[in-house]
Amino acid sequence: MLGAGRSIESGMTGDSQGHDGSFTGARRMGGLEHEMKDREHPVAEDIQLQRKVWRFQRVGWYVLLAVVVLTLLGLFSRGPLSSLVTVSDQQDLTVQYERFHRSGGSNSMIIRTQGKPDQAVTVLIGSAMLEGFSIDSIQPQPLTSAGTSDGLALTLMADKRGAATLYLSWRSSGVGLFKSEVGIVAGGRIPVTQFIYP
Amino acid sequence: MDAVLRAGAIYLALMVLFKISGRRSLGELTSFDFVLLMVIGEATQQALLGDDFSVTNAVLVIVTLMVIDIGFSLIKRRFKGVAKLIDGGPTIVVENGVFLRHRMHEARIQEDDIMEAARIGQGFERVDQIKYAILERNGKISIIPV
Repeated sequence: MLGAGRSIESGMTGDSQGHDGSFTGARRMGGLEHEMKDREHPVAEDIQLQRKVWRFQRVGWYVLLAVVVLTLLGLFSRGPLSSLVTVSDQQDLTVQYERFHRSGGSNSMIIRTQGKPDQAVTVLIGSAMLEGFSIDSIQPQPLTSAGTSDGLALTLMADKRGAATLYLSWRSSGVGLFKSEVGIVAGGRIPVTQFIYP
Repeated sequence: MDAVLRAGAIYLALMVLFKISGRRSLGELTSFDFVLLMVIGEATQQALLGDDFSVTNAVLVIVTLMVIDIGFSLIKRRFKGVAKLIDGGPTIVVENGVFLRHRMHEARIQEDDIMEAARIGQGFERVDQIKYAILERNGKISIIPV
């Protein structure tokens, strides 16, 4: 529906600039000039404006195509550009999350900690994230959860190998850029920057 | 406030998208185009209403859409230039039995489209029976016989 007859386009651009200079080229260029004159009968035309509209449509088609490709790549959440796994400098914290979100949509976040076996570990989720998102679900239920001035402190029990995993589902409620961080009390910190589209 | 912003954003987005897709896209409505339109409507609905399904919200959204639409038609009446920019103008694509191919190419229509309109409207079988074929603002092709 949108891209009919694009193959002769490059040839036509060449003609309108008159690069080839041959007889047929010149004659065809005359044809183009003749065609693109305004007619007054049977309808009054403004062909220059109309050509701008057509050019806008051609450019617009490529813009739409780019939007589709960027969506597949994840610019609007869920894709290679958006999904991210970050490890803290101390290697004790791994956060898997999405960089881009859409207002009202929900996305998951996986927090993995690595510490001493059979010990409680407290994960701190920055307050900025709680302003832009609300927690839809949290698995497993933490031993304790407390609201602090820095954000939300969730205490987990590590297993025999010292690993603990927290699965969170966030629902975006704000719009814009949210700079926050996920950290372990007395441990590594990971800055988490997220953008929520309207 | 939400309802007005949502309706305004959707109205503008749809207007730009339908300008890009061109007049041809809806001029001749096939059953598939019709289905596509309904799907577009479904996709827009959620964004228009958000998670507020109250009667008040629905009425506010409808009122906003109408205000914008009537507003545009008033502006178009007042300023002819704006009308031309938004709706375009009619374009001649066949003149005295000759296809104006550069124009057809840029308008993304083909000989077949014109001949189809000529057959349906006038029962013509050859292009030299056409004095003028005009691509109208609504995307239809009108045929004026020799």
